[in-house]
Amino acid sequence: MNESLTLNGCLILSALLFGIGLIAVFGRRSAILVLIGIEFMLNAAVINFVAFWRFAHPSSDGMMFSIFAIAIAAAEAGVGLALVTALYRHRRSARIDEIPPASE
Amino acid sequence: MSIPFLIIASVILASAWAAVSLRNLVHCGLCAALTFLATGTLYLYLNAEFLGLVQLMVYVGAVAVLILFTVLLTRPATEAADPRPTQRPTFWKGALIAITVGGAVAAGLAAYVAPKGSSAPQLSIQEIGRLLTASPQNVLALIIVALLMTAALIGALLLAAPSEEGPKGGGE
Repeated sequence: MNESLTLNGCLILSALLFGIGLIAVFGRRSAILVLIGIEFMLNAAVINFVAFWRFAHPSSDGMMFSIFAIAIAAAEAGVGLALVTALYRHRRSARIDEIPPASE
Repeated sequence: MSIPFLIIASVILASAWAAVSLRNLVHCGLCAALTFLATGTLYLYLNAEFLGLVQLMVYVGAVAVLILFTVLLTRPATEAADPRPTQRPTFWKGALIAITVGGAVAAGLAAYVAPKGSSAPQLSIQEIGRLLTASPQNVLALIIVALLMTAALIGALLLAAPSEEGPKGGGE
């Protein structure tokens, strides 16, 4: 079993998933899809933590970081989606290019 | 590279691409749920059983359902949005940025050589619980995360609750 190959595969996979998340953040106008892209990027980071924990540094720190990252990502998703519903209620729209500047 | 890993990785990448490029937001949310599910499978494949189950419960069980709820709550607005996302220039500008960043990261990571001779680590759920409650910095982080969760819950409720006067008759 060639383990370093799978570690490199995991790292490349997480880089590509991060890139797909960036596409959603920069390229889509729906606020929900921007949040999905952020979740993808956080997932890519957690994949890196788990891959390094599994193949390179088998101390418990990687696992702890992953658990806390998932918890914070869940809190962020809840607040973000609540923001989207609040935005929709005020503007009748959930598109990020229709959000007024905060100074208004 | 083993066959199961290739299957899981291709499912993750294909469903993630579908989630960012499809037109219908409900389909996007379902594809995102599939991505989270496949990521949980990858954690199980990498011997991180607890994390895989947490991923299933938190992401597939809670976050994906929350995303679908929000899509359905904002349905009239999302229906008309984004006629064809892959044919707009901003999408490809975003893709260019993403390919640059992702390619740079992947090129750097592909050159990484793992230290040899590390066998598969075993970390049972009992050990994870002991680690979370025994070492002081983990306890501190756990308490901070609990506070953060409470604040996020209250904040999300305040944001999503209909306001009293409702300027545009909101919150029906």
